[in-house]
Formats: sequence, structure tokens, C-alpha cells
Amino acid sequence: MKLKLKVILPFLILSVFHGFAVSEIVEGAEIKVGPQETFKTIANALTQAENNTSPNDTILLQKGTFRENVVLISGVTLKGDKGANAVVKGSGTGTVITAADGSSIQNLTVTDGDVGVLIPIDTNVTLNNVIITQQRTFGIQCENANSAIITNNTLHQNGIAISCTNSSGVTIKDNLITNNTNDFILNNSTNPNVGYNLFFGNSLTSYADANIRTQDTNDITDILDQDPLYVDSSAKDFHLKVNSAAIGKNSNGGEIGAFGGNTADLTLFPVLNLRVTNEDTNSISIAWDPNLAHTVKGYKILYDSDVNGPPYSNSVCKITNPSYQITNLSGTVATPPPPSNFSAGIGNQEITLNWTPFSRILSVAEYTVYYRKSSESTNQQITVPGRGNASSTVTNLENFTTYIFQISTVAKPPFFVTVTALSNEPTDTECPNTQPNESQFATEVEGFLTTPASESSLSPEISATPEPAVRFPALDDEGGCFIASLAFGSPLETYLKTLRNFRDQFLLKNSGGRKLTKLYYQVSPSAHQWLEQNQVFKPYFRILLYPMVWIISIWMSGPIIWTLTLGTLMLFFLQKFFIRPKVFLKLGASN
Amino acid sequence: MLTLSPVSAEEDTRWFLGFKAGYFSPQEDGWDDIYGDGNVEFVGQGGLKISPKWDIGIEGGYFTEKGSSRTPSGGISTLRQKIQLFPLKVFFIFNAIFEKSQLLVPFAGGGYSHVIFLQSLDGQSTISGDRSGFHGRGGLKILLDIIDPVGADAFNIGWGVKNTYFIMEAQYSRADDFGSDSINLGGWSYLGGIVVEF
Repeated sequence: MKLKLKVILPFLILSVFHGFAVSEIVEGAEIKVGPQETFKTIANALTQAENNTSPNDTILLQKGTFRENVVLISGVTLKGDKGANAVVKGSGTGTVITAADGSSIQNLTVTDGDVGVLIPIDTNVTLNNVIITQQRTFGIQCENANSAIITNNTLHQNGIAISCTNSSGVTIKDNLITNNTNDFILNNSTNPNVGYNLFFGNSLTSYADANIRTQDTNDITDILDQDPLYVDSSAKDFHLKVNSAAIGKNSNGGEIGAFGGNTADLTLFPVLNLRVTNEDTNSISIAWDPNLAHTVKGYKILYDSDVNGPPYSNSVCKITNPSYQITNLSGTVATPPPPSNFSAGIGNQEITLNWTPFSRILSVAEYTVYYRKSSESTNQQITVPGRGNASSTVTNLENFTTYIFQISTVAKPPFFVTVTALSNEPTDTECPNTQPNESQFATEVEGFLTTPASESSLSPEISATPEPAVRFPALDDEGGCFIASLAFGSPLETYLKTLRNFRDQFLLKNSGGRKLTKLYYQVSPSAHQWLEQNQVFKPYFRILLYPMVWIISIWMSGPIIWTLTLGTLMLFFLQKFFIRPKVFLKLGASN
Repeated sequence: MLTLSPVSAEEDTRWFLGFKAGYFSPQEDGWDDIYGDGNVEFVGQGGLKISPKWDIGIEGGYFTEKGSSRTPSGGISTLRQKIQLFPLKVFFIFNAIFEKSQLLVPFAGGGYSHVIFLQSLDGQSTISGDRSGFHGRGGLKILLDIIDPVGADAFNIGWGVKNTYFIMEAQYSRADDFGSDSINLGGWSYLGGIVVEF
């Protein structure tokens, strides 16, 4: 028995420890970051990752823009969630993401910094399916890095797209390098593995010129000077259009750039500018801007009648054109009440009507305003579309004539519609389900069937009389015709008389004065026009002109007055500022 | 009243500059109904110290108000109007200062006012013009150099500012072309600010 224990016990102990050891090898935690998540910032998530006992955590960014400069910790993966289109946006200066040893960065967009991603000294970092744009100095910078794997990224409109110095084992493959100040620079970086990159539109082509253009072999895998045909780079949509030179050209036969390779997020971008183009008795027509990504195979229409937002009870697939007419629609509506708090504001030949709208009654399609002169019996009417509208202005009315106004609510069967882009062609049975890589919903639109329409009773009558407005206080316009009269106002201004007298009695009687007057009349129409458009500066012109007018007034009074005035002023200033100090200096010296 | 310590002795000053802000209440009948009680006025002034007791100066200001316009029948119109006033004043002031570095300096004065106006109404062009008149003013200046003599010395050495006052002032102005116009663009101003002498 004792012998058995001596043999068995160590094994028992070892197995227990082994079990503990096995259970301690825990996969990294996934920490979600986003506006709706517990962690709202990447920095907070990194703090959590640092406190976790598990290594190799993944920070999963949800939909949103994260305005932070990030410093990763060792082993962490920073990644955008599928379909999130997450953006890490710097403050315009500094490094947006500083990688760490063993870290990787995937499936997100990095914008607005000095350096997009910094791979520091003695680190191994993986960077794939990242869009780096609007970096002032470097898109990616590696300095003395051990190993940097930079594959399937898109670097657009940066300073130098990639700069690696003294870095060994750098892999730069399957990247789109477009419209940067310089493509990339490898200084003293040994054993670089570079290929299958597409270069286009870079102002300086240091790498392409030194390493690609000068080679005359057939082994060149990089593509030069061919437009990758982004869907819309200004809107940061770097998907590729059909016929892009980057399709099928990466190292595995797939797509070059951020949406190629095994780890790419292939979720399509949402459709834009969805709008209702026609409403009928049993159909609603819609249209949208086509999604030009080459992977788009068609669209799905989703619609519903009872409430807005998902889920939608109806769907239609196999649509390839960016427009569609939804047919065989029907519905009923209850009679709505008329709007409350109906009131009128008086304007010049117009009346502005206000009311409380029915923003929450989904079947309210529009309001109808009825109005007539108080002396008439026949109403005119205006349709005000949109249940959220709370006012309307009735124009072209006669001033000082009393009008009667009423309003009603019109309800019609509503339908709420959205569209998604698809990268496959599902069957009718598959259509209602979410498809692989299906885009998010477009911004929903609402359409109404034209019948049946149900109109409320009319609101109580209100009366209003349009009138012109009068200024208060009832000041007169003292406007004039040339610059000074524009600044001063009335042509009858005494000051204008002074200036005109000066012109007639002095300026026009000598050649210098005539030239000055001629110049003035050449310049004054433009100055006059400017001052008319910038009336706030009139007072300042007056301030500048007043001293001139006073001096001219004194001059015009006669040479004796002018001499006496000037002489008095000179004596005063001499006495105050020059004679007294000299007297004191003299006294001081004598003391 | 406190006397100045030898560290911040007052010297003769020649010029002054000031900036004030406060509340301007126009006196034209019916103004309150259209624009409300009054609004902020900003004023800058400068001038010459003829003597320690007498100042002569010029002042420019800015005041603006917005409000609903009226219809001829007295109703409220949906059209909005705006008035901007640029009062320009030339003034004399007597300072009741009897010894150097007097902490509290009452003052009173007055002079000529000239108010330039810009008036705009929705849908119509802006009109402009001016009114002349007179104004009176009075208030109290508090010498700040005594409160912070070291700062005052530094201000003197660095900028040549000999005295710094906090000023509280009330003004009454009348701008109706000396009674020849029925509309008065003047009113009561209650201002506070800083005046420096150098």
C-alpha cells in the first residue's frame, strides 16, 4: 500500500499542477471600446488590458471616431470590429498610434497626426488592413525595429508614406501607396521584403525610382503609376472600383490595399443619399447613389409600414440598379386631429403661421393651410409637407387687408424604407437574412401612399392683417453720393459744404489740386460701393474725415486765422513737452 | 485719504487713456417696448491732462440693440430691426484732486456729443445719419497704485504708466441736434473701467 502511494502520489501531484498550468493558459480578453460600451476610450481599454492577467488582449473598436493619441502595450491587438469602420484620429500633432513589441494593428483608419503609426526600437509589430491618411510627416515610421510586417494597407495623402531606418526584417507588401509627398524610404534597413505594392500619384518617388524603375528584370511585382480607382478618397472610402489596377494583384492573387488579404474587413460601406422620388396610390419609388465598390453585386430594399427603424418586415433583393419602385402597397389611417396653438405673425405683404406639429404620429404626412380675405368666401390653400413642420409663411398678400386662416392635418399610409449593399446574390428565401459583408442600413426615408388620405377637421379661424414694418426710432436716412457724403450722410451737411467749397475755391485753381481731384473721382466710385456694402465702417470714415474737415474750415476762414491757430498750438506743445524739461535739466545741472 | 509711499511717488502726467464698459439706457420714449431696457456699451477715451485737476479728452463708443419692429397700427411685426449707435464725445473734466497719490478722486465734467447711427430692418436697406448734442458726466476714480505699489512701479518702468485708476462713471447725454429734432439718441450710461495716466 505504501509503495503504491509512493508511486501514485507524485503522478497525482503532477497531474494536479499540470491541470492548474493548463487552466492558467487563458486566451487574451476582448475589450470592446465605443460610445455604447463600458470603455469609451482606447486609453481606458489599455488600462484594463494592463490590469488583466491574460496576455494578448484584443481591443475591439466599435463604430465611431476615437480622438486620441494611443500608446499600445506589449502584445495587444488594436482592431476595428467588423463593419465598424472605426477611425483613430489624432490631434494634428504627434504620433497617433505608438505600437509596442508584439502588438498588431488591424482594420481601422488612422488620420490627422504628424506620424500615423510609430514602430519603436527593438519591437516586432504587425500592421495590416489599416488605412493611414493625412499624416503630416510619416504614415508609418519604424526606427531600429526588429521586425515590421506592413501588409495590405492603404497609405494616402501623407508626408512620407513609409520610413524605416536601421530596421531589419521589414516586410512591406500588398500596400496601396498613393498621393503622398514621398512613397517610402528605407535607410540602412537590412533584408527588406518588399513587393506587390501599387504606387500612384506620389510627388516624390524615392523608392520607386531607386528600386523599381531602374530594374530591367521581369520579376518586378510592384505596380507603378496606375490609378487604383478609389470609390471616394475625399470621403475616406478607399474601396476599389471595378477595373482597378490593384484587383487580383497582391501576393496571393487578391486585392492590394486595406481591403485585401485574409484579415480584411469586407463589409461594404452603406448606401448614400437614399430618397423618395415618387409617391402613388399603391407604390413608392426610391433612388440612391450607387455604391461603386467592385465587390458590390446588388442591393436589398427593406421596408415596413408600422414603425420606423429595424426590424423591417419586408425585403427585396436581386436589385442591381440604384432605384426601385416598391409596388402593391396598401394601408389605412385614422382621422387625425387638427393642429393646436395655431397663431399668426404679421409681416410685410405676408403672414407667418405657427402651430404645434404632430411629430410622433407617423401617419401625419402634411398640413393644409386655408386662407381668404375676410370679405370673400372662397378659400385658397397651401400644402405644408412634413409632420415635423411647425410654420409656414403665406406671401403675396395685400397690406392692410384682413385675412382669415385655418389649418388641417392630413394623414396617409406611411412606409419606412432603407437599402443595403450586398456582395452576393441571395435567393428569395435567403434575402430577409443578413448576408455576409452586407452593409449597414442607409439612412431611412419615409414615403406615403397618396390614398387613402384622411383629413382632420379645420382649426378655429384666426384673422391677421399684413402690414409693412416701421423702424423705431423713426429716423431718416441721411445718405449721400460721394465718399464723404456717404460717410457723413445728408447732402445738406455743413461739412460737405466745407469740402465742396475747398474743392472749388482752392483745389481746382491749381494743377496739383486738379490732379488730386481727378484721382479722387477715379477712386471714389469703388470706395463708395465698398462703403455701401460695408456700412458698419461709415462711422470710422467720419472719424477720419472730421479732423480734415476742421483743418479745412480753419484754412477757409482765412490765412490770418489759420496762422494764429497753428501758432497757438505750436506754442502750447513746445511749452508742455520741450521747454519745461530743458528748464528742469538746467536747474538740475546747476544743482 | 492715504498719501503715497516713497516707492511709488506720483509724477506729473500728461496723457490719459481709458477703456470702459457698462450699461446704456436710451431715453427715447417707447425704446423699452421695442428693444428692452438697455444694453452693453463699450467706450474708449483718451486725452490731455492740462493740469492735475483739469482734463480734456475725446471718447468713442459703441452700442447695439435688436428687437421686433412694429406695424403702423402698433402691432408686432415678424420683421426684426437692429440699431447701432456710435457716440463720439469731446469733454472737459474737473478732478477733485488735492494731494499727490490721492486714493479717491471724484470728478465731474461734460462736453459735446455726436452720435452716429446705423439702423437696419429686415428686407430693407440700412439707413444712417447722426445727431449732435451735449453730455454731462461724473464719477469716482480709485487709484490702484496704492493697492499694488510694486506692480505700479513695474508698470511705470515697463510702459511709462504713472497712475492707474479704476473708474466708475455715470453720464447723461442728449443727442437731438440741440432740441431741433424730435428723436433723442442719448440716454443714461453707467460705466466702469480702467484709466491710465502717463
